[in-house]
Amino acid sequence: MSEIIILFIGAIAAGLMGSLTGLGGGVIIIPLLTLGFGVPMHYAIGASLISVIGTSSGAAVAFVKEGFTNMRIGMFLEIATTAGAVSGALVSGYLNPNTIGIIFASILILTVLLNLKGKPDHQEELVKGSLADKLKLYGTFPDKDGIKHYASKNTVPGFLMMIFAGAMSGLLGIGSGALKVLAMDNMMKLPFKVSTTTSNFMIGVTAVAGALIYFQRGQIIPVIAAPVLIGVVVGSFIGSKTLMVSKTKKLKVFFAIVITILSIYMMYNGIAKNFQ
Amino acid sequence: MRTKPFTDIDLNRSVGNLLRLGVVLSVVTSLIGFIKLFSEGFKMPRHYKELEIADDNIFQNFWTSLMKCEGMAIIQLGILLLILTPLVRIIFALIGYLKEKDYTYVVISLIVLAIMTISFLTGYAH
Repeated sequence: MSEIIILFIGAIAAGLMGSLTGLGGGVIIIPLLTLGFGVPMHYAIGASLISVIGTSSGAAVAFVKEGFTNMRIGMFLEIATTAGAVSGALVSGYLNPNTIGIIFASILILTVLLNLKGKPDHQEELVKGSLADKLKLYGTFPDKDGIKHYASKNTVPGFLMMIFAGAMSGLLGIGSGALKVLAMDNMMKLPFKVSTTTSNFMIGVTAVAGALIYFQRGQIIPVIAAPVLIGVVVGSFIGSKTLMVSKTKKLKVFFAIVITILSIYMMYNGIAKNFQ
Repeated sequence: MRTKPFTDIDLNRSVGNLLRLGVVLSVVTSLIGFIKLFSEGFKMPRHYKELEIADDNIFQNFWTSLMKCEGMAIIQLGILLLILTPLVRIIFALIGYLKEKDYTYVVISLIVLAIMTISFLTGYAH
């Protein structure tokens, strides 16, 4: 019983931290479960994927209400992320936990760097006859001075980047929201608000594609996954309420340092072969 | 309200609520499962590795265990409910696109569903 409560409290902390840093619960829960509690890597990934589905589905209502989510862009890119997630989850079955730990640490550092960099805010005109036009990858959103129009650019590179984001999600059990936003902001040049909310919508579906494979490999352990799921959902909820008051530059830098130390620690343990 | 055409926003909102309902249902089911599990006298093993689930016939074992109302299977049901909620979202979107007669997106939704099915079958063949 006490182990379950410890898992639950740890998951609340991970959800809270994931939400405050904007990295998502998975990024914190994997190091916590594997290095903190000695959970085997693949069980930790399985549990993390479940919590990713929970937070994404739980937050969907709030995001949809604002009217920024672009369902078509999301659905189109889900082809890439789910295909990536399936391959990532399959590859993960053949990888040693220490190798996964090292890949995790590398992606974590990359995520921190992406998060620190200022986010560009684009608003592009639709190019008639382009792939974005044919696939209807455009839309409008409400703004203080009326309705704004936007359209997607560089559809093919964005799509390829999404395959990579999906693969990392299936391989490491994270939402890889930062990579998804990178594809939509930097490559497809979508407005910031649209990319963030659409990414959240896609994260759940992507995680399902990976989770189905872990489930059938017997790597989603009910007594680990359920307390983690509930804890992360509760933690992210608390985090989303505090986010508004505490989003300062200083806090961002502080979290970046914490996550960097965390990823160095993961890297060290991967090289020292300490993962189970 | 009734005369208003069915829009993307309406669809999104109902899907959003459905997703949240899925999360709540899943959490409640898992909690019931935990109560049942501990009433069965479950003790967490010393090493998490001992919680291993045999990966042959995983669904059949789950079903047999669920029919016996075992706590572990009830928690598993909660997790499966959660896994299914985003799939419902794709099906809802598919219906929406059919209503709008947007056949490009009918095909795109079907491709995403097909990848999910492959994910399901690949794991099954493992």
